[in-house]
Amino acid sequence: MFITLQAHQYARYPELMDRMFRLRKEVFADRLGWSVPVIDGCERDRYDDFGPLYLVWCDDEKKRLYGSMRLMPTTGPTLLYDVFRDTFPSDIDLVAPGIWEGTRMCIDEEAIAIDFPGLTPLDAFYRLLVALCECALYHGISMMLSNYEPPMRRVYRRAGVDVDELGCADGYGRLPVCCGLFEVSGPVLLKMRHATQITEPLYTEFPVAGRRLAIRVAA
Amino acid sequence: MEEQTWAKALFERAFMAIQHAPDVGASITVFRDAYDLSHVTYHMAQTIASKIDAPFVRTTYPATWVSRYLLQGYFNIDPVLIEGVNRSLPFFWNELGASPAAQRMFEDAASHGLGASGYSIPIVDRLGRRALVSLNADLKQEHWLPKVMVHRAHWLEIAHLLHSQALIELYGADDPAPPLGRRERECLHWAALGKEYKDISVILGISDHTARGYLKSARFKLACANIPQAIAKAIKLRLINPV
Repeated sequence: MFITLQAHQYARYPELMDRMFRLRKEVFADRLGWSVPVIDGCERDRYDDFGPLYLVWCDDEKKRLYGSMRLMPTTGPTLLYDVFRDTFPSDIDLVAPGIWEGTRMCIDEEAIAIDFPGLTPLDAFYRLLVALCECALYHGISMMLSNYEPPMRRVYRRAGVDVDELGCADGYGRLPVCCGLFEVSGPVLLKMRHATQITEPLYTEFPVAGRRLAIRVAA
Repeated sequence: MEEQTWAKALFERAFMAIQHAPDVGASITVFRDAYDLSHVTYHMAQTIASKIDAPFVRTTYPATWVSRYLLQGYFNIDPVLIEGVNRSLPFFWNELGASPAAQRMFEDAASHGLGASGYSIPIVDRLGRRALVSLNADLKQEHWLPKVMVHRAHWLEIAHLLHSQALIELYGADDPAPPLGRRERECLHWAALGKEYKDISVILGISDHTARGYLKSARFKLACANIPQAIAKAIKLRLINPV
């Protein structure tokens, strides 16, 4: 299931929170070689202290983690502006209610291989992307600013995601890190559903009664 | 997004009226009346300790309820406030897990004339300061939900406007010329020359939604209700010079 965790809920899900920071260390520090702060096997930075929203993919008991992403409004402190301001400052300084930044998107390939043997890592990313689009749409987020490495471009394109790359910079990891602006809308979600063949709703944390209405209004 | 014209017109009227209100106290009354709400509350959670140590709160709640709230120590159990300042996303009050004590508080609130439904909008600004704008309405949830859905994007912008007004009220004048990025200035320039999103995106070699994003960001930084107002302000501040 795909849920959101906000600061008032962190303490209720200690297993998910702990595993998320460990997974981020495995993915971003170990595998991608990004220069991110690591303490006690966890990757955590100062933006995690601002009480961000996490989109979390977990089992129904909310104990086992499959993937996660960190979401913050651009009206508040944001990582992307701070990190990229030396490379292309004027192009990514997007600040407005309804424009959010998404960072540290990752999946736990091992846990997924065990619990979802039919799902490839690519399929898993598609699921996280569709859930992200549903989540953003439901909560009134109309655009997302996000960072990624160049190989992800192909994943986005094949998932039907509409992304405009604003710039790329070297020096953060082994590969360049790019920053793109993603549109969130009803038509984009439909395009993603068509491209990925994921037709059932994935993001489960919202009241069902509000679901159809919100999607209709947002579309 | 299919923008409902009447809702947009209502938003622009309300936004500009709030901009001209003398202080946050007046602004929340304008906000309440424009949208036919029962009450509006603006609450800044963290203020800079040396300047002011009490939280900055403005509300249209009746004085009898405010004093009751303080005397009963409801701020210690009020889930709207306690959870609200920790949340990132706007929320309906009926999503809150209310303890029995909080349940009694809501019943007490109803007896003091507060509406049955609520929606709160958390705000965090660039310096990490947090605020909560809470809207209270005398509507059942099934009528309140569709109303919120129609206006929520506009209310979010108004909530940020209240926050910037509160900062000015607390800490003094705002920077008149916000730093617009190159792309924001380019998009405003072409919009000033009458170009639509589509034309601007072709001229600048960016996508349609990115042009919309830059214009929205420029509009937010200039604290304007619509693009024409943002263009006028940018020209006045000499941020753009369309000819």
